[in-house]
Amino acid sequence: MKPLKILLNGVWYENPIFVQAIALCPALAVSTTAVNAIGMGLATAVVLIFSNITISLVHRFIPNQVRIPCFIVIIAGFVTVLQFGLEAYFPALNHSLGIFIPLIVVNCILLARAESFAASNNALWSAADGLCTGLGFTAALTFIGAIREFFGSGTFFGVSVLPAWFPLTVIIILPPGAFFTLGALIAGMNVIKKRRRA
Amino acid sequence: MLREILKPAAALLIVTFIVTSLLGLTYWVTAEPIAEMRIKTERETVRRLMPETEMMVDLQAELTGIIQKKIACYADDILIGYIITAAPIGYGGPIEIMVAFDVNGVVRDAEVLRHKETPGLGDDAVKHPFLGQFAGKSGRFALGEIDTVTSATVSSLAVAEGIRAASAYIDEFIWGQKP
Repeated sequence: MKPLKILLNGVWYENPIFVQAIALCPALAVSTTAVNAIGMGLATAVVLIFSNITISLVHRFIPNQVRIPCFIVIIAGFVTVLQFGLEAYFPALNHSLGIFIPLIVVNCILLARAESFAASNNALWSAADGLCTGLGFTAALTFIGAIREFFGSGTFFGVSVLPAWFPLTVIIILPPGAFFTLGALIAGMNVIKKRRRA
Repeated sequence: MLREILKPAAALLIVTFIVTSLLGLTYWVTAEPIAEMRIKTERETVRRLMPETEMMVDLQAELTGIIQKKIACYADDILIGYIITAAPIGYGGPIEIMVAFDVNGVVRDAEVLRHKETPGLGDDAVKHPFLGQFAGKSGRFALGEIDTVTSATVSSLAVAEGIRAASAYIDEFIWGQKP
């Protein structure tokens, strides 16, 4: 069952954040709140779907030696076109997602999926892979974002949930806190995996 | 041998050429809608900052440094205040801020139009709890009076400097006019 395999790979077995540990720089920078995390995740997913389709269509014409510069040019061009389009025609979306778009250019998930999947599969499967990897990325980011927001700001998706006397752990929303949270979540995931194997 | 070098080079050239052309085309197509959208957001921001405004006049005065635009707001043909647009340099490039002043040059409110600060960290410095503390300030106020946002010192200071520059500018403009 190829579709199921792609979905499970994207979300669990090859989760870009928890398993492949790629794209950490933009991911950790924006995962201070759950809402920001979802914004970044969805923007990445959309770009990923289209960049995967484009690359699966053109990779045949690109000689092996220059494939990485070509992929990067295509991805960066695509992201910039998207940015112009959002700014011109979707002001509301641009207002909420616009600041994440430039971060996507340097997001290595796009290059990683182009190299490992889109360059050896057809456009349809590549789109599916883009969607599933994007979902995995969004889920992972939202998880990290919700945890950091809860301990660092005392809110859950922007709604205040902790009483005022509860001491907030500011370091969790600072960069080191991103690594603490990520480390704890990866450890938890490994425990689950080990149990299932045993 | 030569073929092996030329072929990838040609492919790279073609790819860059196509992508750049598409980019140029997109820029050309979207330039006008983007400019219109910017004017629209600017107008909406003025309306939020000075809700009682009935007429705005763009004062094309001599602009210095990071001051980009000066608008005078009128209601019932009476001057009710000014709005200054400043663009200090933050962590990720210029931050465009609109600052509303009353007729005496006291800050009423401020709002950020455009910025590229880091989401989740620096962008707290362009939101309201932080911007709110500037209300009531005037002239060349001390930057030490402003509480910066944790882990976003550069963005906070850039915003504070922008508002201070606008405030100093309007102060000079108002008191320079009177004999």
